[in-house]
Amino acid sequence: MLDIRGEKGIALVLAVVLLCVLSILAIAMVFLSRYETRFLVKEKLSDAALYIADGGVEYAINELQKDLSYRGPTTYTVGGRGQFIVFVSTQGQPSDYYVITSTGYVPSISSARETRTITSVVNIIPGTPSYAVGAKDGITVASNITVKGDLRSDGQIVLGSNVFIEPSEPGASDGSIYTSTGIAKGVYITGNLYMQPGREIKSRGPTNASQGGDTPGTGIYQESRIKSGDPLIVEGDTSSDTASLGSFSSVDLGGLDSMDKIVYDNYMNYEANETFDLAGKVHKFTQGVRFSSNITFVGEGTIWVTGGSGTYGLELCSNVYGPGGGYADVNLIVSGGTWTGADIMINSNVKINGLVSGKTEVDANSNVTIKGVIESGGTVNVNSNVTIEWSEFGFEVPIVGASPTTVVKSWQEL
Amino acid sequence: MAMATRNLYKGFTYIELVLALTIIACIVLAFTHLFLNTSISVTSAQYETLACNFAGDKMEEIKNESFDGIGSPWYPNAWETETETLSGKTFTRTVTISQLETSLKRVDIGVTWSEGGESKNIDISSLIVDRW
Repeated sequence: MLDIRGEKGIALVLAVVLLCVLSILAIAMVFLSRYETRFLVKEKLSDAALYIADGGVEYAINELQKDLSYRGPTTYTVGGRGQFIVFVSTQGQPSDYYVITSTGYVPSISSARETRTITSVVNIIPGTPSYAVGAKDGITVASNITVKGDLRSDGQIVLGSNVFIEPSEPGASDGSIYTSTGIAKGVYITGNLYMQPGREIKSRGPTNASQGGDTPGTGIYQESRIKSGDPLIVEGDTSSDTASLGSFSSVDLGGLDSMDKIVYDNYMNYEANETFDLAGKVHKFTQGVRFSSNITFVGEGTIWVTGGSGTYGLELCSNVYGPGGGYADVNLIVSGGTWTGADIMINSNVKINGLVSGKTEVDANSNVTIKGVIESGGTVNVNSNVTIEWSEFGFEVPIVGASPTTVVKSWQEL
Repeated sequence: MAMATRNLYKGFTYIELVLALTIIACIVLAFTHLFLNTSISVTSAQYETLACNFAGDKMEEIKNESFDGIGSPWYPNAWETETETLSGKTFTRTVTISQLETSLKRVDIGVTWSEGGESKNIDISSLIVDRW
């Protein structure tokens, strides 16, 4: 009797236990699914915050493309759906690299239910003319000159002795000579010219065929003085390689004027042994400027002469460098004035990383090194022991018709 | 002896059966309600996920467009409404492009759907720059 009762009791207990286990499982399932539901809702907000943060990166790129000195922080509301805070840093980065950090908040910073942070490294390269030396009316280089990049003119290019035309950097395809003038001796090689293999000299002047050889009547004269590189010689060229330079200069003067600037309304003469702080600004001289000898430029910036009259619009005498005798990160631009000498006169022992751009004439005398571009709406005259190496500028200059580039190097969530 | 044993079996079996059925019925009823609610929540979450993906897909598509093409008449479906049926549910997606500056546009994407007679929606927004 007792054994039988016992057996029935066990069945009941087992049933209850089983029900309890099933109940626990069911409750667990319910909680799991509710947790998953909450997780999905959070994920939905998280996605929205990520897109808001990404919008912050785009916003910063837009600001940097307008003004490379932009650093933020900026708080911005995106269509009432969220907000971001974005800032820019360049610490520890190479030139032209910017680290953008953006945090997106949904629905707002003050009552954020979800936040996401993105950091992105962006390389923004301002526009740079494609040539190392460009002049509307003509280029004259004397002796012991090295040009790393292209020479390009709408006028005659006269090359003196021991002229080396090389690519701007190993592997680059530049290092050629082009003129759009149709005159004879459009490229006049008067001394030894050294070039690299695979380069070319093109002129729209008369061809060898019509003139019966390398004569003074041809577009490229004295090819026999080319000592290396065996460049392709093309006379009577009609390709886009020898298209006209068009309006000059390359500088977008309106854009330049809208940059952060200091205006000097008198002719300025900086005496010897001075330090000039460029302070990341455009220094606009309305009557011309002269820098005497032993001048050190610190910081980076632009010297811009817009008017005046005299011998030179912008004169650098001698021993003009950056800190420690290095390159001065400065652009030299003359866009106006009446000058009996040259718009820009760079005398001797000068190192510049930037754009040198004159309206009618730019002269570089001796022991001058320019990393950047030298150009003129008239002529460029280079004397001796001058090196011009095509390079991006040390300080931003708005350029007409040159394509600047923005490349996103990395994008990651913090 | 055999009769008594049978009676004992019958008596306990019925009581136990009734008790067990009652307990099971109570629990099943309670959990049916829970399961139904949970099922609705899971389905709702599934729809939200589908809606998020529906909106996100469009955002990625727009980000891959050229800047000039975003919001231009020849870009398909920009600032227009389109519908798509996913897992048996109809979702309506609206894309709005706003030109904030010459080189900056805002993209707002909203997805709506109805659930249990109630209208639901999700929204995402971002900015797109005209890169050099």
